Amino acid sequence: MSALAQLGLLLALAPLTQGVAQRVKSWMAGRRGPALLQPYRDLLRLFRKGAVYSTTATWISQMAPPVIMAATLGAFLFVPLGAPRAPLAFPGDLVLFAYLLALARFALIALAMDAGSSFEGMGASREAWIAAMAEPALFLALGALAVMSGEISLSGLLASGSGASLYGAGLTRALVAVALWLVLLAETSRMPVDDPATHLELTMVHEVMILDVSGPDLALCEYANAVKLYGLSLLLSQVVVPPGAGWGAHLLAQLAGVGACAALVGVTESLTARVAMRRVPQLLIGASVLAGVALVAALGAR
Amino acid sequence: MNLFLAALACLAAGTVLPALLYTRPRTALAVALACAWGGALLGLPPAVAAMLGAPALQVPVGWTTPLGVFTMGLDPLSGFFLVPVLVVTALAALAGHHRLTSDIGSRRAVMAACFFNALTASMALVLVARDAVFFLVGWELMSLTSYFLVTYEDDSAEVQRAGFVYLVAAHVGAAFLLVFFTLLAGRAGSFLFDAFAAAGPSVREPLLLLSLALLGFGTKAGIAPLHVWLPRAHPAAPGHVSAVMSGIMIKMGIYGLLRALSFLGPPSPGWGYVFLALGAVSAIGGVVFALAQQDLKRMLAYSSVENVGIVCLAIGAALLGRAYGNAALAALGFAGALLHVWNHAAFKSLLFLAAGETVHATGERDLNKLGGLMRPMPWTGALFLAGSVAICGLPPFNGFVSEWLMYWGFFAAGPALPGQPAAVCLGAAVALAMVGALAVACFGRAFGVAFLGHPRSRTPLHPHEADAGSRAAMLALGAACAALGAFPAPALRACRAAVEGLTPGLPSALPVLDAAGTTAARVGVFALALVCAAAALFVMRDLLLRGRAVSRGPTWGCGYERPAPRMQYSGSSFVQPLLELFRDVVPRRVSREPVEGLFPGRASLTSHPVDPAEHRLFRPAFTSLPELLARFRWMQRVPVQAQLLYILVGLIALLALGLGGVPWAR
Repeated sequence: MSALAQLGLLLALAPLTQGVAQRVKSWMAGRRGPALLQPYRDLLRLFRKGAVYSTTATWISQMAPPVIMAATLGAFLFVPLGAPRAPLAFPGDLVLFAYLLALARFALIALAMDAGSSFEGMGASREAWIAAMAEPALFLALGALAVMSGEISLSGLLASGSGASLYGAGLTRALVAVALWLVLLAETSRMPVDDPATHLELTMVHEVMILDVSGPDLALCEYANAVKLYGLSLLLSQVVVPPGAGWGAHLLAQLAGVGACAALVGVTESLTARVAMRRVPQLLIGASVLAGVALVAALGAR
Repeated sequence: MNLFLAALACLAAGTVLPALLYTRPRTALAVALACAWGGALLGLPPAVAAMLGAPALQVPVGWTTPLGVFTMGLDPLSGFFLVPVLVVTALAALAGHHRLTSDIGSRRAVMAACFFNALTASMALVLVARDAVFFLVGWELMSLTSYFLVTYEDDSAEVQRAGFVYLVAAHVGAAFLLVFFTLLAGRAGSFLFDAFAAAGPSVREPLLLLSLALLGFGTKAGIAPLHVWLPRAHPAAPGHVSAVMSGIMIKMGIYGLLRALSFLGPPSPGWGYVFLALGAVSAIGGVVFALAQQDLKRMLAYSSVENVGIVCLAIGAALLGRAYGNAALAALGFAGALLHVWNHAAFKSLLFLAAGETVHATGERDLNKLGGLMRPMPWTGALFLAGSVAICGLPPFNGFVSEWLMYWGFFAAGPALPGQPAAVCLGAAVALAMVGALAVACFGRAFGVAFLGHPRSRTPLHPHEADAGSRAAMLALGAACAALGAFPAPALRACRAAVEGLTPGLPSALPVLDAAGTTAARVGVFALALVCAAAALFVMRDLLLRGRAVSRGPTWGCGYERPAPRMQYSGSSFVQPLLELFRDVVPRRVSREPVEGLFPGRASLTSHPVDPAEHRLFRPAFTSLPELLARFRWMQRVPVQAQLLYILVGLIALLALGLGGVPWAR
């Protein structure tokens, strides 16, 4: 039951995070910006449309979007919301979480290659390249939390702030938060790594991969991206503020955290330009180094 | 055991009968296939029983040899490795049948079928041998039969060269094993494996023995940097042979290592570090070199190096667990390693069969020239996709389960160790994560470039779907990947007895494994739910699109009106950023004619990855070897009397050594 409730919240709130990020971005630029509910309208419009498939495309183009959506939703069911334990939590689910995101990525790469366009191939290549650097950072960060808490389920390692000394725990959590923030920006194709609003295919990563996707398929891909932003924000906000026992207050605190994360994404996008492709590794390997330091700190504080 | 002997007899018949029937090749091939299946069906019941922990059997075979009596036995470890040997070889024989039948004009088809059954039999012998001499005989048979299979297309210079490199590598490895077993026998006073184990932990030279085992078995397993024969031999062999060599035969090296570890007594932490280091180098190096390959089958061969590396990482963690008395880490590590052996057998043979069909259908191995094969070869394409997802360790397939067990060991049990090994365990987890992400890039590219888009070659390929036998074999392997992913608990029960045998003195190892099985069952349920969710979403979008305008149009060319197939992203361009990241790991030989002048002429760029293990380590060693030996040539240019004197001096020296006592001969 609680799994269904969490799934409902995930689906209901995910596009709103994108709306918040967009709104903040507009404010920073001195514009009013689109309504907060605009992402919902966009998705609805896409779900109502027909579809155009490339003559090159195979059944992969029809199968990949549902797989991307299912894998992304499945992954974030392991991130607790409100209650201290996610409904499906079990020991070792953090690996399943990361590998479900990887499954979504594999499906996205196949989807991009299916159209036989060099632009989409380029996007797929860059996605794989960025992921190869982001994934070790994600594992180092989650590993640091696992060592600190002695737990290997996402719910357990987020909930436990006790046990370790406050100094060690605080340092680890802070470093992990920064590393996860960089991973979040890369995974959700946000500004210093990728530009979601560019108009030139050559400079895109995520957007160019779905150039030939349309209608409900495109809606599923975009929805999955929104779920990813929401879910990673939720994860990050619980790294900063560990979830406690009660329901109501914590739910509100976590949702506020997600809102703050989304707003921060908007601020970051307004303040930074996209870095050159060759400098993306510095950013993501930097994230790995921070997470590695967090891990060492956690090992030392045991 | 009688049933197993019957299976061996059946395989032996499958070796001899077709050779006698060579005048009627069609019958001969049918007999060979029937014998392969008969052997598998007869051998599976005893193998499964032994794997599940039936009382271990040991029978001396009534055949006295100069160094003892041939002894056979079946224990859980043998049984666990025997199951994939029998299953995969039977399926590969089915897949290869059509290929051999179409080649019936030449006698080599019948010979290949004979050698194939002989290879199966020799692998089974290696697994049941319980004395060193018998083991080495099986080992040598395995190397020789697979050599004749590798050189199937012996009219090609490339294949001859690959066969030669393989033969040399196999025998260099075997030489180390000879020394290894001789030292053990010298200590135990017998060639029986039981005697080796009973002789107790060797105090003086465990590191020497371990390095010999690593060199000998590691060459067969393809642990870096001993892997150089693998990327040559596996592409040269026909598809169904490379499936068996990569999926099964290299695992004999892993089996040998695990068996050798049981002779060497309780491990020290150092052994764990050695395995972890070798595993990390093989896994990361293997996947990076797989990325760099443009040849589909070479890519798969390097990916086998990667997977053997993953198995070594797990064994390393398990050894650390044993050294520090951490039962959970030991159990999870060994279970992860064993399950990964099964999993890799399933998906790598599937991938090699699919790649073999692709190469057979198009005559092209270069990824940069393939493309769009999903339409003419829908079955092969879909099954290659399933194998690719499985080998990346992604749910809902089987690769996830074994990697998940390893992560569980690294993350949950690892931190319970003291500081340094704990940090090493977590480092291994990060290496595994990196390998996972790179594998997604590698197989996403291989599948996307070969099967999606348009053909990139200028000469039209005329591909056709695989024959029914190959399709059935690939389907069975794909089903195995899915079943092991959805129902991992039975697989974990299957390796329970073998893990128990590998963790002597750690009685609490099994509850950990049972707990892991319970959780793994939940992973399986989740994998099924994921499949259902994706299917539901697929149906939903299908219902939404019903009655709406669904049309087809050309791919969006970003404003360019006349895109051509050659403008697609190629396999090389896909991996360029990643190779740039790893440019210090993969040196590339680049030759370019740059674009020059106002009216540029021909411009080109070619780049080939260079394997440093081959070009910096083995090639210099093998080229300088003759020069080195030439310096001793004067010793041969002496009269016969002097040569007799050599023998006398040699004998006296040995006698003196024997009397004085050599440190390692005890």
